[in-house]
Amino acid sequence: MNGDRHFNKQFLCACLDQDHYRFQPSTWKQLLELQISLNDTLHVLRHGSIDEEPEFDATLGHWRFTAHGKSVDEKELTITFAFVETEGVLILTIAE
Amino acid sequence: MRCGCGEQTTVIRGDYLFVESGLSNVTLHGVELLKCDECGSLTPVLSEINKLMQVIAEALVLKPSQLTGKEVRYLRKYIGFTGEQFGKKLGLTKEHVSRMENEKYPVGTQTDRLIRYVAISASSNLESQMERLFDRLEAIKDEKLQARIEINPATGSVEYAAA
Repeated sequence: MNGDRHFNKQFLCACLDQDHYRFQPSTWKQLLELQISLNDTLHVLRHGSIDEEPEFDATLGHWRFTAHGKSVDEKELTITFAFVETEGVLILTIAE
Repeated sequence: MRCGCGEQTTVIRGDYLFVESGLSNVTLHGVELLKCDECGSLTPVLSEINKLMQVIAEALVLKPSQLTGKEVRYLRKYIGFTGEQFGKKLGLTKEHVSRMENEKYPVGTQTDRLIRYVAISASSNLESQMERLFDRLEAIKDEKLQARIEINPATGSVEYAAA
């Protein structure tokens, strides 16, 4: 999947539902700084939209996707994520 | 793995005050932590985040003392309700919900109990707690105790302690 530039929303939700995701270490700090809760982050990924054109991250060697949406309290939020095939997980980052 | 400041980290195991949950009284025991060799900051390495968030939500609906504003906000967001939607279920305005969450208004005794039931009814993850809450209702202390909630993510065990 990390060689694929198309990302299926159903697959994203399945990763979230099955707990196959984790945060980049720096994302924990971002959550606090931007006063975003874990619940908000997951809400945006589940209910938001995914950009059709992902960016290829040459350093990490995978496609980076962007999800846009509103938090539970209707605050606009952008989250980037990548699927790491070797680990079978999504890595999440908050885009500022 | 590198810290947000760009320096190397060392993996240690310890307790972590999980403020990223939106709560200031939840401690996770025995979790893997990345300790930055430079800035000294601690970052948790958490897997099974959904399970952890569910354990926290269950700990709140069964909490033996009244809910605080932050705990009300956690439960509302856990079930995915806006302040307005939540207020409608509780018979309150969204402004009232906001003030309650920001601890400008107290969480009344009946509102506290109703919030727990609304959370349980709105989330299939929490519905199994209905009977346990019913059994514990009379034991919930009405004092505004700042109870610490101690969670072992590996076992899912929860303990409440006086702050």
